[in-house]
Amino acid sequence: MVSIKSNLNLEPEMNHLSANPILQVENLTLGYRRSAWFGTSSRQQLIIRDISFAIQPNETVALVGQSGVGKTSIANSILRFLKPWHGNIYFLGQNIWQIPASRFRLIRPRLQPIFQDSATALNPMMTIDQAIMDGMKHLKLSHAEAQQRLNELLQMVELEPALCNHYPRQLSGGQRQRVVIARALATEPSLLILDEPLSALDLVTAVQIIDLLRSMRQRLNLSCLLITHDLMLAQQLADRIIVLKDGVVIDSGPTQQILTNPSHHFTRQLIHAAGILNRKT
Amino acid sequence: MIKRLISRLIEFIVVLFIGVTIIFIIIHLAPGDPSLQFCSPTAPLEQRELLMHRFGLDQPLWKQYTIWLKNAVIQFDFGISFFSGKQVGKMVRQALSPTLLLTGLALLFGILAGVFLGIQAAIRQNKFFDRFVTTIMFAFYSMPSFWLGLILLQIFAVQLNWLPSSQLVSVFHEQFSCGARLWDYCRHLILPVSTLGLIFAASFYRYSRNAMLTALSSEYILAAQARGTPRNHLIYRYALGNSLLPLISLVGTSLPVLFSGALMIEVVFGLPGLGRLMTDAVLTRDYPVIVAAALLSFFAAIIGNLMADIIYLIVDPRLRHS
Amino acid sequence: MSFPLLQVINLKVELIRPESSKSLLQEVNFELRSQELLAVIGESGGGKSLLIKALLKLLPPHFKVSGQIIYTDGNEQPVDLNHLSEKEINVYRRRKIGVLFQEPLSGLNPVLSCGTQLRDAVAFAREVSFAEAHEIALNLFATVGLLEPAAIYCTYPHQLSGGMAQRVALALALAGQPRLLLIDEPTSALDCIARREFMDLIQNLRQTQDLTVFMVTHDFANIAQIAAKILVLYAGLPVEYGDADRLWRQPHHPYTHLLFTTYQTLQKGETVAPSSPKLSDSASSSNGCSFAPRCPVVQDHCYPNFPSYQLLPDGTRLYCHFPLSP
Repeated sequence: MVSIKSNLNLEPEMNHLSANPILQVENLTLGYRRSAWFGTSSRQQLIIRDISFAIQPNETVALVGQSGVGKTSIANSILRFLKPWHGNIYFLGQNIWQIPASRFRLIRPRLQPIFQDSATALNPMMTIDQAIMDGMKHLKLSHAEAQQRLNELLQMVELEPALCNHYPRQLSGGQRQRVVIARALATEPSLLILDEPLSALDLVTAVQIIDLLRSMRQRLNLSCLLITHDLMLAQQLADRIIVLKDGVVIDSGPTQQILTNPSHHFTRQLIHAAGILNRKT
Repeated sequence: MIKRLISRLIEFIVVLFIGVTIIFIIIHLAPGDPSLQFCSPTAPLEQRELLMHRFGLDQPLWKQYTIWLKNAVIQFDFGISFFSGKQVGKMVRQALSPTLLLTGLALLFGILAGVFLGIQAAIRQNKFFDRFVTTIMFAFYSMPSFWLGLILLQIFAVQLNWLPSSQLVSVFHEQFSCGARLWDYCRHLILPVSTLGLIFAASFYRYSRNAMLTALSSEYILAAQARGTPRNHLIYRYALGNSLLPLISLVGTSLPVLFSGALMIEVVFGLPGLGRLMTDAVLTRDYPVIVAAALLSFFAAIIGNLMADIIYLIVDPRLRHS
Repeated sequence: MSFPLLQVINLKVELIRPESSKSLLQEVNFELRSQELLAVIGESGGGKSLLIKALLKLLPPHFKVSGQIIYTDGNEQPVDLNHLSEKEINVYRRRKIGVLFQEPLSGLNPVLSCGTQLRDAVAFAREVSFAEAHEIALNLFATVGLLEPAAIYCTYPHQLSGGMAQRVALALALAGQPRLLLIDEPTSALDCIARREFMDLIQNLRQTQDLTVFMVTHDFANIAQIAAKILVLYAGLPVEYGDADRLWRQPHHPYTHLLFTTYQTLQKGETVAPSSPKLSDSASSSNGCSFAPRCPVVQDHCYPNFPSYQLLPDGTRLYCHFPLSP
């Protein structure tokens, strides 16, 4: 595997951050405000209250909880889509809600989301190679370099090069998800945000993608934030698990500990529902 | 919902105000000296200034603007026509009724026929009926209205001589009995109304056929079908309701057509309507009449949109409850 | 007393195009006994959802469905649903067979309240007045575990959460007191806990309402214990069909084996090794066994020859040249 040189003009302090966490979320509080005309009256709804966690380099952390608990809102906030009410989010040492948008744009390619629905994540008018090439625009590679990188990426996600000029609708769900992953990796990300990446796939395909994600993580020193309701998936990918309920963290710790020795009864309920066999017995 | 309604009304008033102001500015930006419309360019300056004074054009701009709001917008008084010297308000009002009669009837016919045929074609997709009607309607859709009008004239008025070819009433209309007068109106209106109606019907047809096809292929129709829901109930309660929702805004936005769309038809059939008034005014640069017509058409547009929005709020539960 | 409620014999679904026709489902044979639960598993795109639509004749005319779908309701004469007219099958759709589709929310009419939809459905299916149907609808909402039936009655679909929409759709499927309930991937839109609750509800309904269930799913966690029979579909062919217990303990077909071992490894929390020959979902062989390109135990014989049908002594139906021996 040829190492990929970065042409990003990141500021020097960001490059030797290996000791510091990739992502640090401090006292994050999220909510929605719906305001009527002229702000006469507004309804407020608190979603996430005072959550803190950090993701170290080469670490995968899973946020687990039922649907509607606000997991995706946290992802949106990290991606600078949803402004937090309180708290700070540091990515590569930068407080992403404090720095100007122009500066955020520089580090934004280092932060790649992969969503559940691969069908809508891809532009239906773009072929596969166009979609992946699009991901490396900011690297300002020459045509030959880009082509080489494209081939490496396709090989990495185990897509046949022949599929290059296909359109998303011509691919299966698993293949599309591979394209989405390749496009995310094209930007040389430091952190992948995986939001229910497998729930649209059947078991055999899902396992293949799990395997792919696992090997990617090792080869590219990636950190991941996995968002899921499925502890079984978290168990496969995560080093640490954070369990959310009603907007707060109710349980957190290394994966093994959470699964074998959950401290909260809701975690036990989740383990039971996911069908995970208890290995203690 | 009430809040949404109120905010919609506020928006309406703001848009109304902006529009009225823009029309005022455009008149002022129009090149040329209005007083020259009334006297020769060689007339002495004092005479021209006198004219300017009489029209209020020597007043400061804000004062002219308030006069404009008061007279034109509120009282619909546009002064007198440059060309005929009559009261513009009166001219417009006189021309309005034939136009409203013509376009109103045509729109009604267009909606009824277009939507009905659209639904029938959609539920018989790709059958003979669908292909036949779609072809015909496509022909009407692409035809210029005046040309269709001329063809109908040629067939029904000239060749067959069944219907009168122009004007709204016959020459001896005044002497007719009440019933005969009504019949006289109808006979004169049949050709223009069907010409315009067919053109309207063609666009409503295309729209409602597509909307119906989309609705029929949606999941909830399949689910209802899987419950053994009778076909008529499926079509008329489930699919129709959903596919007609977007039609509301189509009708709303086509309201200004009530005033301007009939222009060609009125000219072809020699009807004394707003369209003809407007064409004549444009040709003779009769500014007060043009302004009145522009304002009317603007009102129709924003009122149409407002009504469509309000009806949406009432009928669509997704808006009603959010 | 258990009797065969639904028997499907040589069902075949083809997509008819002017130039060519493509077979999407073939040689589907199974029997669903009353009060049992049959689970259909397989990958997405394997024809699972198509099967449900074919059973109720809901496919558009360019799909050709051949074979027999025999429905027997206790003391009535057996009827072949596939050869009924639209009007005749509507009676079955209304009163005998309920269906719950995959996306619960898009299966609900967005402009009618949940109650109105259910009331209409009940009124049609049971031929009662709207006033009576209203009462029945409230009861049905309670039956499917919705806590405030009266509030749900006035709610519009967009105001529901995923789990609630699922239950409303279930209530609609039960409007005609069906004997047979067809369910298409009921849990893929739900989180783990909601899945478990939903499956408990189905179990409960099976007992109280005397329901027989045909369920398409890939949620192994929840079907393992409750299904009586499992049908494994791969690329439109039912590669294995038999007793759930036996299948689960000792799958004969390599694909079933792959599915179950994968799941069991996941369950134990071990790292899964993906199936050896990777993907190539696109490169399906034109003839021969369609699983051959991915099969871990493939042999030369598998490619040119379509696997023939085998009936094992324990009643398992199998399409494989080299079934895994016990």
